[in-house]
Amino acid sequence: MKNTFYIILGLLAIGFTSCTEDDVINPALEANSASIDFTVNHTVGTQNFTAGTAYSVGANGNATFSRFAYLLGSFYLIAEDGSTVTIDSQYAHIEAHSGKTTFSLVDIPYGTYKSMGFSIGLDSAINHGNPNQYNTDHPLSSINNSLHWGWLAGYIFTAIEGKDVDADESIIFHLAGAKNKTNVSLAANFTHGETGSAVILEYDIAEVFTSPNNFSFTNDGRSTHSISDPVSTKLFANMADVFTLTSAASK
Amino acid sequence: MKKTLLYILLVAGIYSCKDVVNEVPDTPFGTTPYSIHYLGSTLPPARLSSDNPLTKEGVQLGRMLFYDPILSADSTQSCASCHNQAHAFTDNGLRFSEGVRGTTGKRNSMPIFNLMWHLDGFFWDGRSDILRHQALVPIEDPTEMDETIGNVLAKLSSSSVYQTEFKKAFNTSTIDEELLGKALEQFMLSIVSGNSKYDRVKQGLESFTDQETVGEIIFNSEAITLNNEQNPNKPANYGADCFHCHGTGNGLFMRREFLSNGLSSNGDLGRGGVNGTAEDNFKFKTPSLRNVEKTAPYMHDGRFNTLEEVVQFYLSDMNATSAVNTNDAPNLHALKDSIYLSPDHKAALVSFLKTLTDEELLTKEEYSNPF
Repeated sequence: MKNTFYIILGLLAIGFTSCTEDDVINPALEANSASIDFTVNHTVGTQNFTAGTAYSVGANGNATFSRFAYLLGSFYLIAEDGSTVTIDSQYAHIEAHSGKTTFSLVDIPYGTYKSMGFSIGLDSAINHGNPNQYNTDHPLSSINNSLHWGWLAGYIFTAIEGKDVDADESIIFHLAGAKNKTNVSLAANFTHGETGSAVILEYDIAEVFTSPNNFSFTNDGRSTHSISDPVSTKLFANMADVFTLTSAASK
Repeated sequence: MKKTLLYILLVAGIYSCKDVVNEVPDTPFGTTPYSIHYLGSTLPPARLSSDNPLTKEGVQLGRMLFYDPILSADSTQSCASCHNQAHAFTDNGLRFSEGVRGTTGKRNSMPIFNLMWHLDGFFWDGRSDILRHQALVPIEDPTEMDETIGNVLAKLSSSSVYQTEFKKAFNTSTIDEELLGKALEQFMLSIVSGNSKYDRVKQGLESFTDQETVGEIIFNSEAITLNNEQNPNKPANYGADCFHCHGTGNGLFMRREFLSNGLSSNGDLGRGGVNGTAEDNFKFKTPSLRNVEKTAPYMHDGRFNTLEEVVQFYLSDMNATSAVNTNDAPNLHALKDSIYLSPDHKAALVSFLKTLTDEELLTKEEYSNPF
C-alpha cells in the first residue's frame, strides 16, 4: 500500500515537473518575437512618489509609505485585428518603495497592438500553487518578494505599509485573495517588431484611497490581513483604475 | 477526499523541482560538481552565483579551512570554534563569542545553514554583501581571530597540503584572498537544513502531536491584544503572529528584509549603523527559525536564554521599551501591545518551534570536522 502511494506520488510528480520558464515559451514564436520592457512610474496624484515622504491620500492628512509592493500577472495584448495574445507564466514583482519598478515580458510576437491588459494579483491556481517551485530571482519566489502568506492563504497581491502621521499610528494593508484579483485594461497603439518595445505605465497611489471609496484611516481602519473584511473590500474596489498608460512604442 | 487530493497535489508539487539545485553548466578544471540534494524537502530552488560553482573539491577545501585554526593569529581558533555544528553552527550556547585575545564581540554568533537563500547580505547588520566577503571578516576582526589575510595566505601557501587542495579546487597553487573566500563560501553554501520533523510532516512521513498541531496554528495566526481577549467576537483561531516575519511559505522561516522586532536598545544601531539611514536604526537581519531549539541564546545580542523567554517578549507591551517608535514599524502593528496567549498555547508554540530541529544538520559527516 505504501509503495502504491509512492508510485502515485511519483507519477504526479512527473506531471508537475514543468517548473522552468523555458517550458512555456512557444518555439514557433521565438523567431518572430521580442521583449517588451515596462517601466512603472508611481505617483500620488500629481506628485512623484518617494518612500518616507508624507502625502495626503483619501480622507487622510499625512501618510508615509515605507513599503508599496505588488504582483502583476495574466498579461495579454490585443492585436489590431482583434485577436488576443495571452502571455502565460510571466509575472512582475514591483516595489515602488525600493525602486524595483521595471520588468520585461519576453517572447512577445511581432504585431500591431491596440490594447493590453494584466491583473493585479494572481489567478487561483498560481496563487495556491507551490511557491517553492520558483528560483529565488523569480517574481513569485516567496523569499524574493516577501509576499507569501503560507500555502493555504497564497500570495499577498498588494502590500501597503507605512504610517498615518497625523495619528502617529502605523498602517499595514496586506491585500490578498484570488477572488480579489483586479483586472486592468489599457488602450495602446504601437507596432512591436524586432527591436522590441518600451511601455511606460503610471500607478497613482492616491487612487487606492480615493476612487470610488474615499478611504479614512481613522474611520475605516489602519490594517487588514483579511481577504474580505470591509477594509480590504473598500481598497480592492479602488484598485481598478490605479494604472494609466503613459506611452507604448517600439524601441 | 478533496482535501486528500489537494494534499497529494501539493506534495507532488514539492517533489517536482528539487533534485539538483546546484546549477553547474561547466565544471571547471576537471572538478566534480557538488550536488545538493534535498528531494522532497519544503525548500525552494536557489540560483547560485555562476562564478563560484560548488564542486566536491571546493567544498572539501572550504570544509578544511572552516575547521582549521590556521586562520587565527595564534592558531587556536577556527571558524568552527564559534560555529559548532551541534548547535546549528552557533557558539555553544554563549551570548558573545570570545576571540583569540580573550575579548568578546557585541553580537550573538549566527547559525550557518541555508545561506544560499540569503539575498540581502550577511551578518546581523548585513554589512557583507556576499558570502565570500563575509567569510574573511572574522579572520581580521580583533575580537575574533585577529589575524591578517596576508599572514593567512602566507601560512596556507607554505603548506603542501593546502597547495594541493587549492590546485584541485581552483587549478592553481597560488593562494589568494579571492580563492580563500570562495572556498569558504562553497562549504558554507553546501550546508542545508531541510530534514526536520516539520519537513517530514509536510511530506506525509510523520505526524505532528496534538500540541505541535496547535502550535503551528498559533504560529500562523493573527495575534489579538490582551484587551480583546474577552471580546466575544474574537477570531476562533488567534495566535502569536510569527508567520509575517518568519513565514512558512518559503520553507525558510525568515524574511529577506532587515526589521526591528521591538527590542529595547543596547546601543547597537544594526542595519542603520551600516548604511547611515536613520530609518534603519535598530533593524537587524530577520533570522530563520529553523533549528531555533539549538541556537540559544536569542536575538542579535543573545539577551534571551530560552524560547519561553522569547515568546514572552513577543507577548509583552513593546510600546514603552522598543528602540524604535513602534508606530513607525508596520511589522509591529499587531505585536506592539500586550498579546494574549494562554499558558497551554505558549507551550504549544514552543513545541512547534522544536519541530524545526534538523538532527541531520547537527550530525551530518559532510559538515563535520575533517581533521
